[in-house]
Amino acid sequence: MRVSVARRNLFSDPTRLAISVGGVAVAIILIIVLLGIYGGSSEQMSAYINNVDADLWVAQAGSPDMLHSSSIIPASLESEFSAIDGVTAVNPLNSRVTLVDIGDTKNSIIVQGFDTSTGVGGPWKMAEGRSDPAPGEIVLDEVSMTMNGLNLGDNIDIDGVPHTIVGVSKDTTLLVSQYAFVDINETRRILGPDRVNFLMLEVDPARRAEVQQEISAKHPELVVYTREEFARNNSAVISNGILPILAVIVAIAVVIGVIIVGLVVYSATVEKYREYGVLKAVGANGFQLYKIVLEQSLISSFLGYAVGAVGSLAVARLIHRIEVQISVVFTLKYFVSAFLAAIAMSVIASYIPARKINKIDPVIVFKA
Amino acid sequence: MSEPENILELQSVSKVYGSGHTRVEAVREASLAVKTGEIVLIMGPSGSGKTTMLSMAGGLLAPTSGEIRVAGQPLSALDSKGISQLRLKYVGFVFQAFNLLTGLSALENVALVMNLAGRHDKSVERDSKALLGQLGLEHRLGHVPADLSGGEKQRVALARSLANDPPLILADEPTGNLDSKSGREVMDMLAGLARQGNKAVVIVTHDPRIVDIADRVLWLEDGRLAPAEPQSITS
Repeated sequence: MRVSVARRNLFSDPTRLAISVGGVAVAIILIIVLLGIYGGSSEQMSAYINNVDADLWVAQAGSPDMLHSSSIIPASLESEFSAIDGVTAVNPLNSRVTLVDIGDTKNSIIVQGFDTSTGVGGPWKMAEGRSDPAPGEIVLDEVSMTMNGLNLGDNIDIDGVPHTIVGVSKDTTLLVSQYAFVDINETRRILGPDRVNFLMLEVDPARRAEVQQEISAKHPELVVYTREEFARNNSAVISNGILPILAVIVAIAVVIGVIIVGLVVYSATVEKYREYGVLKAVGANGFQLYKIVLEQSLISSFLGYAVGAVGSLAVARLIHRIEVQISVVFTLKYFVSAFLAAIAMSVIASYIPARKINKIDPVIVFKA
Repeated sequence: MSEPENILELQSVSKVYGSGHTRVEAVREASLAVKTGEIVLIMGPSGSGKTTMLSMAGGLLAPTSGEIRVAGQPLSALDSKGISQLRLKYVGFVFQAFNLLTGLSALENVALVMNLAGRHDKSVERDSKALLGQLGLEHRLGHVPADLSGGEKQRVALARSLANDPPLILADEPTGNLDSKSGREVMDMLAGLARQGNKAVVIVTHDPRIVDIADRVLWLEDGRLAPAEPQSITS
């Protein structure tokens, strides 16, 4: 038979327990949802790269990703690369971030000009309509459509030229922008016919490394990325920008959790101060008393974690409903991290109450 | 280790509080030896140092000078963890204010002390029930202290003090919060269990009605301990 003083102390005051559990739950929701937003945003940033039929990406040297840098390379390289042993296809891509007026709002969209005859570089998943826009036509992401109340057949202006929406793509949104797809000839109006932003190469897997080295050696003015490298670089846009802010907010969430659990356990300890003195008088040592305090903290934190973990799923759905461009993606790693944070909260929160009971003079038990 | 003949020894023990004009000698060079199985009463007026002496005997308070041994072990040679372990194994306390844990049932209050001593198996529940049964509480096992009368609470406290089968029981005014009938019942039970288990009991009390259970009565006044005179017991 094992008697749990901690459980009795904790559950003897349901209101106090609810406050403690609620505080931890809010902290856990914050941690998991923030990590989920980070995960979703990172996934969004590399989704395009991961879904395009391109094993190698060729760009101007010094262009690490699609968002920050402007890469301009000769279109004639397409025929040169096509002749390399192991290269099975070369496709051009023009990519430009632009502000588009839709109604009264300015929307940032990334216009991808791709070869509609091959489809490489175009949308890989459609909600409705066509995926191969002709000149004067455009495929918009469904988030853009929803945010701006647009429908198939509506027109939007890109650089002063009206484009009819003929298709709605899925999974082509980013946290701060959405992709739009046009025929590559539409984008040559600005770049000209002899230049492109990127060349996408399909390569025999056995020759991928050699092709990469061959092009890099011959063209120091270019940079050649594997699909994985380019996807990582694009994800890093989010990591470098958002991660430090995220880390600060997560740390604040942990501190809030510690304070709430600590306050609740401290008040429970003060309330039972004399009883801890009795336990000391009958022979409990310091470690045994600390275990009681720690158990109270852990129970609060575990219950708070359980509520928070479930709550984070609901909050994620709510966020996406309110802000459709925000994608919250959960992985087991985030839930494990939050669990470890809950344990850390318990241990830290136990410190001050533990010190207090350590100082109890058991002689107080003789006072009536 | 076999039990020494004297389960409790105080050798010229003193306790001084404060210094200078606030100096108070709560206990002055008190010496006491209590044999295994002996029941000793320590009586005296309020403020005479009885509780201070009991606190020191149980290792809850360090003496200013002198030596205290419990089961032959000098308390001065032990650190706080060692003293805690000694109390768990050799000493049971009964308090005037009962000092039961309010959130635990009668059974749990007794079982907890066994848990502190490292016992968690089925025998804990069995032995706790047996102890409480011996004290007439078999129908009150699941009741929390708020549901118990004063006499019942003190009987639970008594059971708790016996949980780890200690050879020494220290009781501070055990009848202080009880009516005369309950107080007598509890004292008779304590004396019965002590003699049955060959336990030494030191009782600090004002109550002259329980003198008859003792083998020896001592008088503590102004910090000095001496055999009690009959007239001082009845006054």
